[in-house]
Amino acid sequence: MPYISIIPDKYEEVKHLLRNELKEVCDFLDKKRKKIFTINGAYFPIIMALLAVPILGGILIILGFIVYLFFLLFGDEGVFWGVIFLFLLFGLYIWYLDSKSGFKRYKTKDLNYDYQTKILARLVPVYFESVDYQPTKFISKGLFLKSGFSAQDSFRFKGTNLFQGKINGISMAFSQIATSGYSSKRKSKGLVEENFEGILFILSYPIKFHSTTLVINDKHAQLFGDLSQMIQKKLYGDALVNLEDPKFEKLFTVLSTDQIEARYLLSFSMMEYLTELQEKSKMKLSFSFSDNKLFIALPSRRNIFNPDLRKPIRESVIDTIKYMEVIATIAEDIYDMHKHMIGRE
Amino acid sequence: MYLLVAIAIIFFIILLYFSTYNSIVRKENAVNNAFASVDVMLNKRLELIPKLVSVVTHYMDYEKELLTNLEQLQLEYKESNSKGNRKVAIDNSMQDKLQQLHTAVMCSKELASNKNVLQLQHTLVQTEEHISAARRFYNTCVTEYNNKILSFPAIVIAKQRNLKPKQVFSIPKFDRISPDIEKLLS
Repeated sequence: MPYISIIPDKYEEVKHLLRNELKEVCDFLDKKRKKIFTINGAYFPIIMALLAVPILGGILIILGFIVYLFFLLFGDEGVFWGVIFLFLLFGLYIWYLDSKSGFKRYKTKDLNYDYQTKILARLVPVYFESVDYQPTKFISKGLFLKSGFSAQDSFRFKGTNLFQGKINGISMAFSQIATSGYSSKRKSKGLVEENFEGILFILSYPIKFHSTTLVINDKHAQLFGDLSQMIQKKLYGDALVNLEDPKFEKLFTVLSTDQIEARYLLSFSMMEYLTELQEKSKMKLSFSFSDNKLFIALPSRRNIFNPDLRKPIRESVIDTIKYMEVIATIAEDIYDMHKHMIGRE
Repeated sequence: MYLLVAIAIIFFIILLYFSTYNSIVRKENAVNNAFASVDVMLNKRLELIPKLVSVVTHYMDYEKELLTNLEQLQLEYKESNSKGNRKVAIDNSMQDKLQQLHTAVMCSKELASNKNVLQLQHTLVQTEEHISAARRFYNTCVTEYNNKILSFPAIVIAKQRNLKPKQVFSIPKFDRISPDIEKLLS
């Protein structure tokens, strides 16, 4: 999880909301969560397995008789096959019970919906002044493709929780997205086409540009240093942008369709900012400057806009707002960095 | 057998010579292209300087020498036919003078509140950022080129062609405002 501190005044506001206005909703959802978790959640197979003992006990008597018949017919080997048969039967029973957890999924969907409409919808205005929140919608695949994060378009794309609106008069949108089913995990035009799950944040960039510049979080560059630079040069050719900040170069690989514009967008202070943001957020952030927008990919292991069944609802809220915090912080900073240029484009 | 080995060695040397030669040519062209980009942007800035000078002249009698120097440098740049070192040197001096002018404008209350001056200053800042990016790209190309011609075996061809290391632009700390992330993240 990221360790981004919450802006104190906003955190106080969130805390106040959780303790007062949202207290009842949180308690209600916590009860719902506990019910799903204890009856249909992690303990579900254990409880059902325990219940299986007396049920199977009865069946065992009947089957014992069958095993005895096996013994009478086939001798000692008959007992062995009889026991194997029993184990298979037990496995089938567990599988049947687990398939019943569709009920759990239905209940979880219900909980997620309540969490999004009753809690998140109330918290959004704390961070974003005019943002429209649609839990079932998401950023389109077409828009994702404009980022240049993916060079091929034949992959599965889904998402939830679309937020769109303005910060400081600048348009922005973000949603949970998941990509999967790439035909090959290949590096093409500098892109690592791996399954991604997390948040895609799009911000209309305050200054105009015409090229596409990708700032990709590069674990290989971190591991192999100079060697990886040589490989990258061979792999990406003229698209590779070598920048002057060694710390930044160690964390990211930069590819662009315009070498000069890439340097215009990635000024010294911007490189410093992105390096610091990466280090402080502890997220593997990737950026794309394309189509006069800034696209930021923030990976997460689970859908951050759904409550975590293993944690109290209030803790899930804190997890969710940490991401909102990062997004709001980036939007504010990008605006601050360029406000002396806005209006003169 | 010896003949074959000798032919192979000669063939290898010829191959190495041509590949190194071509590599130098590619890097030289990259430097020239990068310089052309900087030149275009510097010319844009040159057009702004006379406007700025004419607006601030009335208010800055005490900085007459600075303004004259700026105009001289501007003329010198325009008249220079050099495609490298000379223009780079002029630009480096011009940057210093512009920085001084910027500071002087900011120190003068009259000028700091003059709309025309502010507009010109803003345009200049924006142009400077584009120039800065182009300079950085030029410097990267020049560094690669200099590294190439100073290392073996390219140094042999470079000496033969009388190629000399090129001068890089100095990059001013004329950059966008960096937000204080410490305040927001810890």
